[in-house]
Amino acid sequence: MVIQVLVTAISLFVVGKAATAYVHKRIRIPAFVIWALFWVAIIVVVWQPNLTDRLAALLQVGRGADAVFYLSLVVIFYLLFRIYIRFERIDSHITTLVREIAILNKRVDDTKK
Amino acid sequence: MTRNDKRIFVLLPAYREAGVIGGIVSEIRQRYPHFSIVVIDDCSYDTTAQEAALAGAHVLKHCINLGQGAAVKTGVTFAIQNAADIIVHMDSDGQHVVSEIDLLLNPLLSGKADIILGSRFLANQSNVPTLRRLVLKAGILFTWFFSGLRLTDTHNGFRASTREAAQKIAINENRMAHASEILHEIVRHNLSYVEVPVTVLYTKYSLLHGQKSSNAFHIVTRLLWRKLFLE
Ligand SMILES: Nc1nc2c(ncn2[C@@H]2O[C@H](COP(=O)(O)OP(=O)(O)OP(=O)(O)O)[C@@H](O)[C@H]2O)c(=O)[nH]1
Ligand SMILES: [Mg+2]
Repeated sequence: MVIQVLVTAISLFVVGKAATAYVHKRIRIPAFVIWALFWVAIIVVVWQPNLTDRLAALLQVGRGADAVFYLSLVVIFYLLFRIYIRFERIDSHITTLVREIAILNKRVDDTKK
Repeated sequence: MTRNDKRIFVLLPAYREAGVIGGIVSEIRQRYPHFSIVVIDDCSYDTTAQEAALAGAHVLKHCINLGQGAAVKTGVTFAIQNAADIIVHMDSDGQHVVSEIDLLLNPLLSGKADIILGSRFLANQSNVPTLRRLVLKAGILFTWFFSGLRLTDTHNGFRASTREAAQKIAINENRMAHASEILHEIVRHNLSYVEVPVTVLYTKYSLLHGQKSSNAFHIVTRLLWRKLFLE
C-alpha cells in the first residue's frame, strides 16, 4: 500500500511537471502525451500488477514483473543510444564553432596589424 | 618544381607546450625562412600561444580544448584559405626533428605521392619505449585489418601532403583517433602514399607529457563507434 501511494504521488508529480512544461511551451504536445501516458501506465501497473501478466504471456516470458523489466531495459538502452547520438552531434557543432572562431579571430588580429 | 615556388605550411597543433614551442618555431624559421608556420593552441592554460607568436608563428586559438585532430583540421582550413600548396603536420613537443621536414618534402615535391607519412620503424633510429612499441605494433596490425593499409608505423603525427590531398581528407575525430582517420581517408580517396623513415625522440619531457598507452583503447572504441553509427 505504501509503495503504491508513493509511486502514484511521484508519477502525478512528474505528469504535473510535464504539464507545466507544455503550458510554458518548453515541450510540444506529442512529447507531453507520450510522457504522461508512460507515467499513467506506471500508476495503473502499480495498482493492478496482474495486468502485466497478459504482457508476459504476449512476450512469452514467465512473470509480469519480468516482462516490465525486459521492456524497460530495451527502452532505456534505446534512449541512451539516442542521447549519445545527440551528444555526438552537439559535440561536432561545438567543434565547428570553436574552429571557426579561431580562424575569424586570427583574421581580425591580422587586419588590426 | 622547387620548394621555393611552393607555398609550404607547417602545422603545429599544441597543447601546453610552453618552454618548447618557441624553440621549435624558431628552428623552423631559421632553416626554412619562407615557410608559413601555424601553431594551433588548443586552449592551453600556459604561455604556449604567446611564445609561439613571439617566435614568429601564425597562432590560431581554440577557445575550448578540442584535441589534436580538431587542431589539425583548423590548421588545414587556415592553410588552404591562405593558398597553401603543401601542408606539413608536425608535433610541437619536440619529438620530431625539424631538419627531417626535408625527408617528407623531397618525395612530395618530386611527385612521388599525394601524402608522405613519417615512420619511426622504417629505420631504427628511435628509442621507442617497450610498452609504446607494443601498442604501436598492435596499432599497425589494427590499421592493416581495419583499413587495409600495410604500414610500418601508425599514429605518427609527422606527415606532409599536397593541398589537393588535404582537401579530400576529412577529419572528424577531434582527439587522437584522427591519426587513424587520416589513414582511412587515404584508402577511401585512393590517395597515393609513401612512408619515409623519420626519428621520433622520446625525451623525459615527452614521456611525462605525452599520451598514456591505455589511450589506445579509447582510440579503438572511437573508431568502432564511428564506423558503426556515425557514418
Ligand atoms: N591542439 C592540441 N594538440 C594536442 C592536444 N594533445 C596533444 N596535442 C599535441 O599533439 C602532439 C602530440 O601529442 P602527444 O600527447 O605528445 O602524443 P604522441 O606524441 O602521439 O604520444 P607520446 O609518444 O606519448 O608523446 C603534441 O604536439 C601535442 O602538443 C590537444 O588536446 N590539442
Ligand atoms: Mg608526443
